[in-house]
Amino acid sequence: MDHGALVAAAVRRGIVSPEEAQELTESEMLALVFMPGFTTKEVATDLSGRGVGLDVAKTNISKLGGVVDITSDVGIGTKMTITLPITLAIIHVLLVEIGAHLFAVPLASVEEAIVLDEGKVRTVESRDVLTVRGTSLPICRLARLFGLPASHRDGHGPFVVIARVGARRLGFVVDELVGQQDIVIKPLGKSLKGVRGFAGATELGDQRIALVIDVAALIEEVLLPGEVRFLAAAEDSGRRNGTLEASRRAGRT
Amino acid sequence: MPTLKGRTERRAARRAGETGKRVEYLAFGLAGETYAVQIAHVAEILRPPPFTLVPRASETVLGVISVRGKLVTVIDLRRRFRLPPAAIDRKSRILLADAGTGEQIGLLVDDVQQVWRLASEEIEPANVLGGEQAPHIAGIGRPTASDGAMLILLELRPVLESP
Repeated sequence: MDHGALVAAAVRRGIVSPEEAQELTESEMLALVFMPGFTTKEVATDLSGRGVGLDVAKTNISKLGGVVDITSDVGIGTKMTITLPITLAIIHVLLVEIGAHLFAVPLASVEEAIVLDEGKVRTVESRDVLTVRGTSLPICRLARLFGLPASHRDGHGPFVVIARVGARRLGFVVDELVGQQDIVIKPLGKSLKGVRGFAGATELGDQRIALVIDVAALIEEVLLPGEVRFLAAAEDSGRRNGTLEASRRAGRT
Repeated sequence: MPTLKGRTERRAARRAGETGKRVEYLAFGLAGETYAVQIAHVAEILRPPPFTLVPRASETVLGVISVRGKLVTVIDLRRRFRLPPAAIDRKSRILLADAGTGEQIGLLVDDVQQVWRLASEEIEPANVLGGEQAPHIAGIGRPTASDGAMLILLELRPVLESP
């Protein structure tokens, strides 16, 4: 980016006065591109030239508590560095117990948790469906899905954690509700990337680790089994991202 | 006296080691046999902490553990090599292995024994076992300084890349 051209454009648009322009440091000149209404274009096109895009980008980065820096050499290139706080990875979860193991369900996708009334479970095309306040809710027994023995306790029965992603709702049957907690989510190693259904894991102190359930992936897997099989096949051929996007688009239309 | 002779030989072998190029191997036990990996690929030896089961992972995966805040996948080398299972006891150890695959992986072994410094003459290629060998067998180590110890030398990359 040409510093001179940036300053000239800013003065022309009245973003800085000619006097202020004299005082600008090199990095301040580059930062002009983030000012609302700043553009070097004389005429706006359908896509650009209104001085909005980078302003919006910067505002959103700031909202997340991040910063953006620019370095630029005329005729060589421009580098934009976006620094975001790691605390982005802190999420609010519901801790649940399945077969004596702890798992975390992100609360962002939890609608409510209710006691499972087995008497209200019906089987529709080999899928368990629970009637909740007069509407049908497909349910998924996580102990069975994860191959864990359900640890049934007397007194209070299993619970259903009702999760929603977009328009899809699914009830996860768990043995126990443990509580809510803010956690730092950490990625599972590369060696476990083939394991579907977990977004990562978190440490709970006393060396215990809870896996964080990837609600969207499980809903997709349970409610759209055909698509997931297709995805798994696509993953094997190593074209994951492109095909995943393509199939998501296909799923929407 | 045979012991004196043995000692002299051992001392000679040690002297040879000071001049020739030797590679250090860490020996560990697994189902009664002694295996060894290049110590350069072992970052740390841990007592097994409680590990967390990962449902739907491959059956060689014991679970994940936390090593100073980092999650590490632990695989059971007995299961990986299709050896009979054994319970974790007080001699069990986890080797934090890093063979340049970009991820540290924990390997559960029965016990950790000692470090051997092997010269290239002390390593037999894997094909002495005849036929096709599994890609994770790098060779057989026969340290001259020992009384007939036999080490199964492991190539860690194939183990870590497809746990």
